[in-house]
Amino acid sequence: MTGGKHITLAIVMLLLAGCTDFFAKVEPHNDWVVSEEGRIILHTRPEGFSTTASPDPGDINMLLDNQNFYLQMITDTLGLQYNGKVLIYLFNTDEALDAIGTQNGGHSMPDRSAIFYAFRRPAWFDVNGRLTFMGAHEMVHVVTHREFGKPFTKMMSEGYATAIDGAYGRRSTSSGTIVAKTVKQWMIEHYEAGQVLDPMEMLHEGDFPENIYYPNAAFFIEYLWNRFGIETINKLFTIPASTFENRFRFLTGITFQQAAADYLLYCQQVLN
Amino acid sequence: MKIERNKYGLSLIRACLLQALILLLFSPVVAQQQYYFDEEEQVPVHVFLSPVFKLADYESFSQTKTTFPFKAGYPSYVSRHLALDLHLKVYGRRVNHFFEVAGMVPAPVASDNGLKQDLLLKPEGNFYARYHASYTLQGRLLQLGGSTVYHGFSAAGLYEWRELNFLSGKVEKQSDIGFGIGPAFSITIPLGENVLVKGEGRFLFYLPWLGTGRWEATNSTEQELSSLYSPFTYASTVGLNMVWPAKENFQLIIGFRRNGQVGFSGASPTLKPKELVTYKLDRINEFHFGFIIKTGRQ
Repeated sequence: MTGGKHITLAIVMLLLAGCTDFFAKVEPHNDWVVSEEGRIILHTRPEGFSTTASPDPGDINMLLDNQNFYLQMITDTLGLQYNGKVLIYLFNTDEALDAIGTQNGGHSMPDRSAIFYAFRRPAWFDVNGRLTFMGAHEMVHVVTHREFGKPFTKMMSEGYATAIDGAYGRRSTSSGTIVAKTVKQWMIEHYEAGQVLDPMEMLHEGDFPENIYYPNAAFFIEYLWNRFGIETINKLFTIPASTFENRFRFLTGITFQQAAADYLLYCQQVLN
Repeated sequence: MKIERNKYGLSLIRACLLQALILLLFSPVVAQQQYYFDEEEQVPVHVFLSPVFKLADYESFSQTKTTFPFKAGYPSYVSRHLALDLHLKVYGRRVNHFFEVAGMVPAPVASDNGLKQDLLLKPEGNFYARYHASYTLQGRLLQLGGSTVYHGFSAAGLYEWRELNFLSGKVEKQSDIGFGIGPAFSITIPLGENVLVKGEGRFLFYLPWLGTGRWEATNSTEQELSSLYSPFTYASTVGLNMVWPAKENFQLIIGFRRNGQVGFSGASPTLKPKELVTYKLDRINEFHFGFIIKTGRQ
């Protein structure tokens, strides 16, 4: 092959590699069964779509019922009037890692009122005693982002989602039942391990594992709700970390450092 | 959050001034001085003007996978536009200059859940528009038989605007302006005696320091929400054209072009934002038809 042909080949390869498809491939994902109830529009894979199970009609009914319940619970908790629909895309377990990046859980795109989640059996019991395949966490992101605006701190975004869901992850009981692992159960473990995070660290997004950060943020948010009221704390949802402390003092009358110190004392009292 | 209008205004001015400065630096005046007027002999320059009519399909995808390699999927926003481009091409002996002004006028937007069902938006009141101006400087890289490969760089300014009215009653508006710069390639291959096939590729980086945007929305209680942002995106354009010489100074052109743009916008201009405001996974497929008029020869 001549030098000229080498260069031409290199240019053609550069043209192909340079396309945005190389960075973000579009997946058609258009083989869906659409089910709608209340404000939830659920997209599930048809039976036999892949080697792992697709949701059956009983699963679909359970998912629709639960997600409508969570949506109502979220708006009631936060005192909101959210009336939009939420689109849920449930990927089968064997395709989920490639399609959404995880086989355990999922993520939301509040801009599109959409949740992308992996369908995985068995179901588990949430903190309300409901048998479920997905909790309220992603639904909280959709509602809060759309109603309050863009959250500029991980502490508020993940703190709200985990606090309202009431749990992070799951655990097996002695009888073999799978149940949600509550925020309080996590925090008792973290207290014993010396992993209760200072709110100052959480505000500025320290690089902590999710199972440490999420329950800590949720526990602190619950504390703030109880002390200052949910309506007051809702006003901090979109505040960037750089101006958070000033805004906090303006809304609550005390400094964030004072609140953080009080919170750590509170943790000693309730987690000890 | 209240809109900080003064801050937005300053960002816009800052972006426009920087773009104007960079465009001026790479303007044909400078390029001509470098490449033309130092020649001993008079260089013939061909100037072509070509209006191009386009049918453009815009689709803005959701990010279904947030880790690399990213995945784009549904729900998406789609629109179909009739659009017009104006191209001015100056072919010199050593370098070529291409100017392009393109406009996709506002067209109705619908959402697509992957099954062509619009489950999010009201039937009316949704629009997307895009205006873009670019300059490309290319020189000959190599000659292979009758085919010629060119390489160079391209710089572009891009303005986009989108307004969405959701079934929930929520209204969301997003507009941004940005400046991009990056490499460009093209190849011309003669097909028979008269027909010419032209391939093109441009790869632009829209930098967060040279752009600004504003996201606005209302929530269920009609409260106004807004955020300013600095977009950082990568855009690729690849196209294929066929050119027929209908008359001596008049050619017909028909072709296809695919534009892709991916990236994100932070609340402040940085390559790794902590405070993410929007993201972009957009694609525009264009079919175009136009003509080329040779307007002069020096």
